[in-house]
Amino acid sequence: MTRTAKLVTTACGVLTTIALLAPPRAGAFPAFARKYGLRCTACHESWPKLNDFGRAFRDNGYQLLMGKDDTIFETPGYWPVSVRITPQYTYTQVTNQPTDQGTKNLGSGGVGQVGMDLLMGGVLFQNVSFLVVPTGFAPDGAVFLESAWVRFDNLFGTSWANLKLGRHEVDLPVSAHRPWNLTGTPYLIYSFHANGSASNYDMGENQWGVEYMGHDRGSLNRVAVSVFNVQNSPGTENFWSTPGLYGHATHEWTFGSGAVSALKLGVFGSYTTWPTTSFTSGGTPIPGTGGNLYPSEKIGGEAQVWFGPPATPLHLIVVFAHGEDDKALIPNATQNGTFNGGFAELGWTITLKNLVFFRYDLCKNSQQGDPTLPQDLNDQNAITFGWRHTFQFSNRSEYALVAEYSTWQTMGMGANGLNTRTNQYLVGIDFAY
Amino acid sequence: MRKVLSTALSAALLSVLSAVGSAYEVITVTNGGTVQGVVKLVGQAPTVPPIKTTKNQDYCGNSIDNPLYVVGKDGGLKNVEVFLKGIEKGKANPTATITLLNTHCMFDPRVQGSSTGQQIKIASDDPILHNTHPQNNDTNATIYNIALPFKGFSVTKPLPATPELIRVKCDAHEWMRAWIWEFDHPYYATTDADGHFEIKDVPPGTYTVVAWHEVMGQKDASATVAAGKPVTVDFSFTPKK
Amino acid sequence: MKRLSIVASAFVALALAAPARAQGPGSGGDPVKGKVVYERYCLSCHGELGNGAGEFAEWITTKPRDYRQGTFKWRSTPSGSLPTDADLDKTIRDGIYGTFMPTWYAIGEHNRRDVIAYIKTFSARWKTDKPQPSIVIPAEPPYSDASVKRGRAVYEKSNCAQCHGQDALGDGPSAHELKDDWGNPIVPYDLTQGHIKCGDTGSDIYRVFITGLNGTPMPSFTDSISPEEAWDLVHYIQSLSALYPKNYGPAAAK
Ligand code: HEC
Ligand code: HEC
Repeated sequence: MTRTAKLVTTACGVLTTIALLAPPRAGAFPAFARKYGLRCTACHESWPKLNDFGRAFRDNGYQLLMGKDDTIFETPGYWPVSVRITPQYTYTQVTNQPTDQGTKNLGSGGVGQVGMDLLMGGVLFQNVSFLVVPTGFAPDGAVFLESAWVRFDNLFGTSWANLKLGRHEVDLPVSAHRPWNLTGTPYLIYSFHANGSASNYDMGENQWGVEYMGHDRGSLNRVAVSVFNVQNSPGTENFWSTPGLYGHATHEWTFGSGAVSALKLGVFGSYTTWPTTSFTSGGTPIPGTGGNLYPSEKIGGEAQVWFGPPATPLHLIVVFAHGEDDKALIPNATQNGTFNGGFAELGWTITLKNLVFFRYDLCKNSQQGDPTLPQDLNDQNAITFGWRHTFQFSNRSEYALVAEYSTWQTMGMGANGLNTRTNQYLVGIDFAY
Repeated sequence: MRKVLSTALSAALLSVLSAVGSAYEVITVTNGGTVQGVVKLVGQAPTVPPIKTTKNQDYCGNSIDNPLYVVGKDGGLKNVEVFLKGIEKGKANPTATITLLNTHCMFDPRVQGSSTGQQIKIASDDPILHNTHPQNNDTNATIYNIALPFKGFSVTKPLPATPELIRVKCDAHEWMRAWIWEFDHPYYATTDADGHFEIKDVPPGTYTVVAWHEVMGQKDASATVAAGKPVTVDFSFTPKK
Repeated sequence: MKRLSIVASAFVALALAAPARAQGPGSGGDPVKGKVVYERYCLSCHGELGNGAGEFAEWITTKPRDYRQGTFKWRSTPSGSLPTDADLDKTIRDGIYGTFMPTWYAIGEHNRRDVIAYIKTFSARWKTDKPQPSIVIPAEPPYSDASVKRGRAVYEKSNCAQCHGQDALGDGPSAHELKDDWGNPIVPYDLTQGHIKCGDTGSDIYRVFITGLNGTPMPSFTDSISPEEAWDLVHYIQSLSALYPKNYGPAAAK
């Protein structure tokens, strides 16, 4: 592939990604609110982000453990299904795109981008929970499973032994499926790789595998380890052809009074593999033929601080990671590619119905696999901020109005090696039932 | 705005409460008058079916007379509480302990008056479990709930700090009922078997006299008390058909 | 990495430097902040007016507490008294088993303290009345068969069976048609279930029959059962199900 061709592909890639990015957001689950008579605010700091109570509920396997956790078969009328619909108007502009007419800024916008997620989840039997999120319709009309797992909770009577099987999101510091923003800007560090790396491993993507998770009462201490097959790697077919490993441990301090109501520190890391060769047919990898696996790694830390009254907190999240991609994954590499990155997110729940948030994402290559390339090639940064106003909530459903802006810059990947910037303006409704 | 309102409201509430709480002033009454009279039931007392006991029949029997209307000589009505409403000054409150007895699966007495500061002795004559559960008549709020698990058991408890009409139940025997009027003053009397009442040592002045019956409600009358003299106030209640 | 640990320890220091709280659990909260806590977590059941008639109340049988009378079931204080702040904190922290009242352990002490202060604004009783001193629960003697046997005798002598039934299944002669202060039907607890509504420990059972549950038919036996008898009775109740944790000291929180 020539340099230009590659750039064009990347650029188109960026555009398509954005177009498709009304990403599946497993976010909110009002079916639980209906079952337990709680408002969304009981489990969500500002939905869809969970608060301590919501986390503890989820960690207990969607159970409150008060003798009222009827299984989905027991309570007629309780239907463990939720939908989330996000009609919105988004205007997207991408700068410095190569066209036949020269370097141009491309804009596109439209109403009617309706994201819709269907969630089914609950308690099958005591201490057996499940989640199924059939999202997205592939071009051939097939529904694919965004998420599908079964969890066995409190094995041997201890909250330190829970096992999840199936397609699940690994235990990220901040769930990629519960961002405050609806714009297409993801938490960049989750999917970032050293420049040029073939690996497409995205921590935020749900993976087929097994997760062990343990926690104490109230989930102040937790640990989770997932072993999985990296999704979408070319030429792979079985569950273990491109193994990956992810781990996360946190400790939270809560304070009975004072300006800081809670502080959480954690570490996380991933070790994943990606094939570098496979047989192809018409250019498409033939499943089951991927081989020559090479690793990518990330290791990082998180710090979360909740300031102010814990019921309407100012929540600061800092996540950072150092990553390394094997040189074999990078074209023309003579050394491993390394990078550093992370994000700082600030969400202020001003009142129960109003949230403002701000996020700064930054990912920088610290060593290009191909030392001849500029050090900052494909460095990325993004700023996202917005306002969410929930205008109605009950223990049955929620409606919110959202207004957001995000800008995402990529270094040196535009036409003629220019930087590109993607600006997104979004106004929409977020409805969950 | 809301906050201002609620602050104002609670301030208002507080002042009302303190007004009620501090109303009565003790003075020496040397030559007080007496308010006396008879409370009568007009016509025939309605027939009330006896209480069917639903538990402990081996001891309580299968039925008990229902004492809602106890009529004596010349239509005199028992168990009517008569009191001087809102009296602000007078003699000191009694300090003796009042009694509420659980006997033969009923409370005795059915109606009595009391003053703040008095204590109540709750006792049982019955070889079965009773529980004496006084509640505020308006709010149903539990005042306390004491188990009297065996015969001969008794406890003495203070009455509530603020005056109120107390309805007493026994949860174990839902038919049992007693009424305790608690006042911040000592000017009240419960009619006897012939409907008589007498309220003594009343400082001269004009008062509203109230008669209260558990089913037939309240009646008011005005009475002017002269020093050292009795004044007669009679009441008559007509039962609803 | 080093920089992070500096930042982290700064935060810890900041948090710890916060004014040490003068009172015990549940005390000293701010009712204004508590209102928001209440709206966030409690409103759907206990209602905007604190009358227990939130939007979810009509769907459930054991109704959420109406706060306007200042009547609370689970207390360390004598029959009829208001509960202490620590009592409320315990109830809210651990929830009420078998009802829709969840455990609010995860919302933390700070939130609970504030919401307790707010709950108290619903009843004027909190302004005119004070909780009486908590009862003293003596240290638990060891659980033993002899104690269980003596406890059965206390159960009989105290006539718990009148409501709870001979075999403590909640089916005594007076078990039916019972009503609570709010006029809702209520049934004596089936003590063989192995988990009482509010708490797991021996002292949780102890305080129930010694102080009674205000607002319910469950009376106080403080004047008729001595502390020794009380522990025997606790052991008898614990013997009714393998699920009750035995020899579980009062100091140990679950
Ligand atoms: C899903 C419904 C629900 C929610 C939400 C809820 N409660 Fe309750 N709560 C109840 C029910 C039901 C009861 C009554 C249980 C009983 O009497 O057995 C109760 C009882 C109580 C009591 C009385 C305990 C006693 O000793 O009498 C308190 C205090 C209380 N809740 C506090 C709270 C607080 C604080 C919150 C919010 C943080 C809250 N509740 C949220 C359902 C709820
Ligand atoms: C007048 C009837 C009555 C009597 C007598 C009675 N109880 Fe109860 N008891 C109740 C009721 C009603 C409840 C249920 C309260 C509730 O669910 O809110 C109850 C609940 C209980 C509970 C469970 C409390 C909880 O937290 O879940 C225990 C333990 C208990 N009783 C023990 C006893 C013992 C021991 C005795 C005898 C010493 C006794 N009771 C006598 C009516 C009674």
